[in-house]
Formats: sequence, structure tokens, C-alpha cells
Amino acid sequence: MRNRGLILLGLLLLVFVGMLLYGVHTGDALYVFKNASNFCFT
Amino acid sequence: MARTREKCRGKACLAPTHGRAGWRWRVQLISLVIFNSYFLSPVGKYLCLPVLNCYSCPVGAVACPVGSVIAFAAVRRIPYYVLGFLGLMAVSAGRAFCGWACPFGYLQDWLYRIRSPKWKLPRAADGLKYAMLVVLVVALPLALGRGEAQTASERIVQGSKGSFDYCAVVCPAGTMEAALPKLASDKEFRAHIPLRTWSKLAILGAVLGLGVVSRRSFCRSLCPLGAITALTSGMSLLRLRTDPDKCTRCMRCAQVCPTAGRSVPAAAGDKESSAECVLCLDCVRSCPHGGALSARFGDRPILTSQGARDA
Repeated sequence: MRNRGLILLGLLLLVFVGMLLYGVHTGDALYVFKNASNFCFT
Repeated sequence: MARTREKCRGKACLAPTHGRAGWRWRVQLISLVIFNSYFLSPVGKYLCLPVLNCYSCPVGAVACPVGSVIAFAAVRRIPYYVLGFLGLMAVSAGRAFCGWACPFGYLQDWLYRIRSPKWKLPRAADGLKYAMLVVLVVALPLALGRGEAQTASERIVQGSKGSFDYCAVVCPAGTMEAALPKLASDKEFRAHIPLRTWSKLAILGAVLGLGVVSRRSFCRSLCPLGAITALTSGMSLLRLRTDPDKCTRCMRCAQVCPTAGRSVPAAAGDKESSAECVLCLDCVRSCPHGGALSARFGDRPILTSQGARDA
């Protein structure tokens, strides 16, 4: 049971790392940076 | 610590938020400084840390995940990078960012220390933040977005022309960190304050006022980031564990919980806390029974209750 939980968490981690890297590959990271780099005032 | 307990006896403010070792407030203070250290922004603005700190603030150094998700929704793209980042944070620390690092949470912890009548937020209010997430962070930006890339600045400037999202109409952190400096520095803006800014100022006032009388009320009821972290809190490696042999169910841990998220398990394997738990670990520090309650990272204990040292 515990092992199954750890395997599931490991898979989840892999999915999230994959999403993160895919986001870097598609330029999402840069989009986040540019979006966050505008000092505006509401 | 004993004095704090004495002072708060019979009121809602039972928690030793900044008591004894004071580790949490130190971490919160350091986080506040780091997240608002402008010189870190060349790197920091790539990071979508799950804390509410407006990136439109002149000194803001990290990217706000809520603002980033809205920006992606407006251009109708799936925010893989933001979701991946938030997922990694959720697995590694769960909602501990809310309890230990969020600057707006820190402000609320301080506000609650102001002497005033205290009031417990009804549990039903917890659901409001999910509505905020669905409607103001995802649905409306998706529906009203023009499908074009916009910077935060453009989006919020266009906000006065019709955009209707969390940053543009609600976010009290944005009002405090961006609108107030703007009001202070821009004479022309001060002379013609838009209606939307007035309403955001009113919301900020209400949130701050509510923070004085009800602990972490904003986190529980209005924070869309809190909704995201609550939804993913179940996958955290960092969690509480009660030893049923040592726990007497005195409920001290539930009393000190700032978000009313602690649920004392009746048997081994029962739920330790609800999604509202921000892993502040006040419960572990306050537990009067040595070894009855611990915080664990995976299977490794990182903090164990020491018992009634100052009882």
C-alpha cells in the first residue's frame, strides 16, 4: 500500500516535471516572465 | 508562550502563531523580503511560487501564479509551465507555502493579533474561493480574452475597458502593492480615481478588517491560489500524523488551528486535516502530549510534539 502511494507520487512528480519542461520548450516560461515583468498599477 | 495562552484564553486567538521558537514568523519575514527584492526579479519572475504577492508591485520579484493563469486563459492556452510548477510545489510542500511563505498570509497573521472581538468564519465560506478560481481566474478570462498575447500591464490597463478577472476586480494584494503605490506617486491618477479602483480599495478594506476579527479569513474564503493549493493538498509529501496511542483527543490542536482545518483522527488511517490546513504546524507545537502529533516529510518526522513544556 505504502509502495503504491510512493509510486503514484513518483509518477505525479514525473508528470509535473514533464509539464514544466514542456512549458519551457513552448515558450510558456518566457511568457510568464514577460507577463510578470510589467510594472503596472491597477 | 504561557503568557500568550493566558492572554488569549476564552477567545478565538489560541494559537501561538509567533510563539516560542518563532521560526514561522522568521521564515515569513524572510519570504516577504525575498519576494519583494527587486534585484532578484530577473530570475524570480520565471518562478510561479504559490504565494500571493503582486507581480505588478514595483519591487515584486516573483511571478504570481493567479495572474499567470489568467494571462494564459486570456490567450486560450493551457498553462503547462504554471501548472507543472504548482504541481511540483504541491507535492513537495503542500499548503506549507500558505502557512510559511505567503506575504499576504503573513499580513493576516499580524492583523489577527490586533485586540478586537474575534469571530469564527463559517465553514460554508470556504467554498467561495473555488467559485473565485473557476469564475474569475478561468471562465471569465477565457470568455472575455481576445486570444491575443497581453502583458499584465496591457491586461490591467484594458481592464478599465472591460476585462473582468480576479486581478482586475478583486485581488487585495494587487490593490495594496500596486494601486496604493500608484495612488501615492501619480497625482493625475489621484485626481481621477476610476470606479474600479474605488471598489478594489473597498474590497481591500473589507479583507483587512475581516482579517482582524477572523483568522486567515481571506485565505479560507477568497484566495483562488488557496483554492488551487487546497485542491492539490492531498498529494503533499509533507503531512501531519497522529499517534493514536499517545493522543488523548484533548482537541488542543483543533483549537489552535488558524484555518479550522485540523480534524483529530479517531483511529489510525483517518483523515488528519481538511484541505484548509496550511501546515503552519501550530498544532504540533501546541500539542500537550509528547510524541502524539508529528509533521512528516514522507516517512521522516521533521517536527514532533514536545508536550506541555510551559503548562
